[in-house]
Amino acid sequence: MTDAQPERRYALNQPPNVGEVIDGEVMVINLETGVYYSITGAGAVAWPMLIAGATAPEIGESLVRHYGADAATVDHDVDAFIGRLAGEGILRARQTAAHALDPVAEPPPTAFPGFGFERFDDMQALLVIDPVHEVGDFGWPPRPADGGHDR
Amino acid sequence: MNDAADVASALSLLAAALDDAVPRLPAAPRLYRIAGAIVAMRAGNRAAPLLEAFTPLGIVDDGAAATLDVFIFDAATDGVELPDTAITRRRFKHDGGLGAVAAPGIRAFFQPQAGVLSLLDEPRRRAYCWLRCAAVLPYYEHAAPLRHILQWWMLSRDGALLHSAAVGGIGGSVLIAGPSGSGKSTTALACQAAGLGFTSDDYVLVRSGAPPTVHMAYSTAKVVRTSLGAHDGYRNHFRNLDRDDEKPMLFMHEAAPERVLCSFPLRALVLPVVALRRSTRIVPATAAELLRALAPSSILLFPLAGAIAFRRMAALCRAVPCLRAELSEDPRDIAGAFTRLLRDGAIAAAQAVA
Repeated sequence: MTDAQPERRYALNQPPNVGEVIDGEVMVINLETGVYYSITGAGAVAWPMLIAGATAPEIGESLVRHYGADAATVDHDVDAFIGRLAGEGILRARQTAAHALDPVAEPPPTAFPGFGFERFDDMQALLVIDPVHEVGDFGWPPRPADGGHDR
Repeated sequence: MNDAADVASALSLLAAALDDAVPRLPAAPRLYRIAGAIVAMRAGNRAAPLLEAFTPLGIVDDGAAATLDVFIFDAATDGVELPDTAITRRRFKHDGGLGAVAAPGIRAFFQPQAGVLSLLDEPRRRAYCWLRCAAVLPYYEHAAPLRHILQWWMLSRDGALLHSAAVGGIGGSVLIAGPSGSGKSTTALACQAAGLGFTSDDYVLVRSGAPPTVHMAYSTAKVVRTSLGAHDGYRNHFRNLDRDDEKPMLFMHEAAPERVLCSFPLRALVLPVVALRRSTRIVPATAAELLRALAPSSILLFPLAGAIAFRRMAALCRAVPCLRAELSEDPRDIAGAFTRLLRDGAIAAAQAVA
């Protein structure tokens, strides 16, 4: 994990990453590695601010106001979240903020949901082979009980 | 780090060499209507079988100008060698995981294993596909020919080539989106066998609109060898039966021409899930679920299309109802569920399922 620096500002590291916000979730795909990510909860709420260049304290303050959550908890989670994204190469540093977006515009949740972050590497094989799609017998992927796996 | 001038120079060298070789191809093109636009394709005898997958899209020449001219060369029989460049040596840093390079207006992708170079010169509305040996192409090149060129071309046509199956009826079609092995082909073939129209089992063209429109890209259907018995009626139409290392495939315009659907409005996106249920159940899904199912493989299979194609896929997932099909093991049951889904009002009802 890369430690977040309080005053550092970030943008989406594109290329190689591409990102979209959809349905309260952020999906990021790294086109070089084939790894893709799902960011949910407070991470999806904070995402527009983060890639527009808001600092960790600015994001934390906004989330505390939005959720009415404990500041120490939120600040810790924001730092960990940014560190995780930076460690995955999803973020690059920038000098100034493009514009600060306040997540207060989102409907207020009942409680601070925490930062959801999932990493998927099941597509990496596509980058090293020609696109031959294989499935198991009878057109279905093998069942786990058959000793198979999902691909 | 790539030097932009070196990339542009290498691309120009390749385009010029292929352009010089155009007179070696037959003068009369074959014309196709692909995603609403006329595409003229020219190929010599050895490379021409690559066009079979486009057969249902063929049109007669009425004098209308083509939007894109595609030239397909077989190196040996057409006498076309590629100049030695950093692209064919794959010396440039890859832009995108599969390795491809671009300069303003020109994109190229060289697949050394298959021996295929795809190049689109967009300002000149020309595309070139060079085959090292058309006679020994892997089956998937016949199943989905020119797919990189089509994907890049669609970027300027408000569309994208998606890794998805599509089936439909008179009222419209649904995309069946999911990673390889999720049940796309099996579902598409089951639906086709039950009487629904077939647009794709693997790759499909989609253009934005209200509603978005689904267009056939290829008439191909593939099955795993062990499931051939389930498609016995089409046994005479399968190719590759003598090649254990390749998937049997057929062209739907030969096997069941009455089922071929070339273009239809999109009504819903469906994520198939192998659930081994007694009966197939279709329930609401989130747009994010469908984007996760659709985007990674669609984007990663197509270098140099990533950001634009991803944005279009997200827009598509926001624009139409998203559903999840929890599949049974019985193809007839699956087909029945999709047939019912395409009836008037059924998609809205499926969205309302708790």
